[in-house]
Amino acid sequence: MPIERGLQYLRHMQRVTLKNLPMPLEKTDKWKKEHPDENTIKSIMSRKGPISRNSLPPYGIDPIQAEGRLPWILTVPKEPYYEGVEEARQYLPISLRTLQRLIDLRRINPDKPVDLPVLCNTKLFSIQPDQRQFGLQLTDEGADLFSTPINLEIQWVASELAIAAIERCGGVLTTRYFDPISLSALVDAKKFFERGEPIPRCDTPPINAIEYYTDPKQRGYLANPDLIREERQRLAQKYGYKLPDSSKLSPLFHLRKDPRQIFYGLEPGWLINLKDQTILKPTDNKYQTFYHS
Amino acid sequence: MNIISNFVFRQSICLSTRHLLINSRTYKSNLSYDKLFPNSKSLDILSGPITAPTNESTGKDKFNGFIPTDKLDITHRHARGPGGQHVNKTLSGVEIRFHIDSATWIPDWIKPRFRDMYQSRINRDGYFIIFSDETRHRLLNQAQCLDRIRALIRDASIIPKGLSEEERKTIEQR
Repeated sequence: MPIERGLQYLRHMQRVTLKNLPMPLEKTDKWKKEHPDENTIKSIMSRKGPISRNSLPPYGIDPIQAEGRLPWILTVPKEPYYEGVEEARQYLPISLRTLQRLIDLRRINPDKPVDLPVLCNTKLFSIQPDQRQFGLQLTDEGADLFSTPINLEIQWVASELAIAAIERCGGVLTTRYFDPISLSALVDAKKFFERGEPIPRCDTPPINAIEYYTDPKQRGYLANPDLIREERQRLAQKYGYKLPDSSKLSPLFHLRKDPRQIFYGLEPGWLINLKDQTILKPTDNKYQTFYHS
Repeated sequence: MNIISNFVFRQSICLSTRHLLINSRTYKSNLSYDKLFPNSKSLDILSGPITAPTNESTGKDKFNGFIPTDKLDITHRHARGPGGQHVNKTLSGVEIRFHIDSATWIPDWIKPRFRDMYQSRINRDGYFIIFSDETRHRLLNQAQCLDRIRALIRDASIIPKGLSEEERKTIEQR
């Protein structure tokens, strides 16, 4: 009963004033200050500006600080034309036409596997690994002129026509990733051997490249060989040529590098001595486990 | 410069041929192909089993999409349109002809429908002719011709279902 409660207050409290009496929370001045009602808000706020004109800026922007306009960083438009250019990988183009020309001029030997060190030895391409260049890419200009079977290893292929042009003549194409340290060894092989460093072990590709190098349509080196065979058949039917009989091919076309290997015939971890014409191989267990992992 | 590049080329050949001749040392890391794909039927890209159709479809089956390119008559012709000397000299147009009745790779039940539907492309002698010069590359034009042939055969192989009895009755009632 409220009367009983009031009499208890009179008995136990030192002084009873209006402010002392326990009231429901919503009627205290403290609460009213923290939760002003609509009319008090209107009397406090300005009569101009976005709040009074019902044109508030989007969420996340303080309307009082905004002074009636959007902050500068939102008014200026974003034109991300070069977004990601600092991390993008670059590949120097080589067309099928130049390849055929190099073979005809006998600067490249089609009886041996054609890969990056062979193409860099022609001194037509200057690949700089520190400028985010990761190798060569094959373009499809000259697809009708190409007519030699070769075992080609390139870093990127953008068009299906280029792949079909090589396989039509009976050749083999694989796309291969080299990380910058291995690339500096491949680009100038003689200079690398003269430096006296052991052959590096090639890294796996970065995450945004794994999808490309495990794709059988791009003939990635990490793709399933079963699926690659299907794709070869599919391209042969699409472009209208016949795949050569695999038993009649020379062993050149069956040659393939291991995913960690950089040079044909040389293992990672070996030191090449050009002057004495010797190769030094590591015998310690920990080096062997590292280079074979 | 030539001498130096020859030297490097010869050195790299000598190292690689010695190993190719020595036969055998094959380097296998943890990422070698037999460890990455232990369940594959054949690790070689060139030889092994394929699931895609490699043989012609026989007389009564559905058309399986395989076209034997030996049996087609493929000619390279001049392309049409603007382009100056380049268009006049290069033969980038592709024409494909084949005799329909003697084509073993088309199922027999499709042939009469095919002849009906595409009369404008068929010769008096019974040859089916198709020509393409839409791209700059001969290979791409050839691919387009073959793609069209496949699409036309597939269109000819679709037989409409026909009305069932209930549908006919409802149409008659109306």
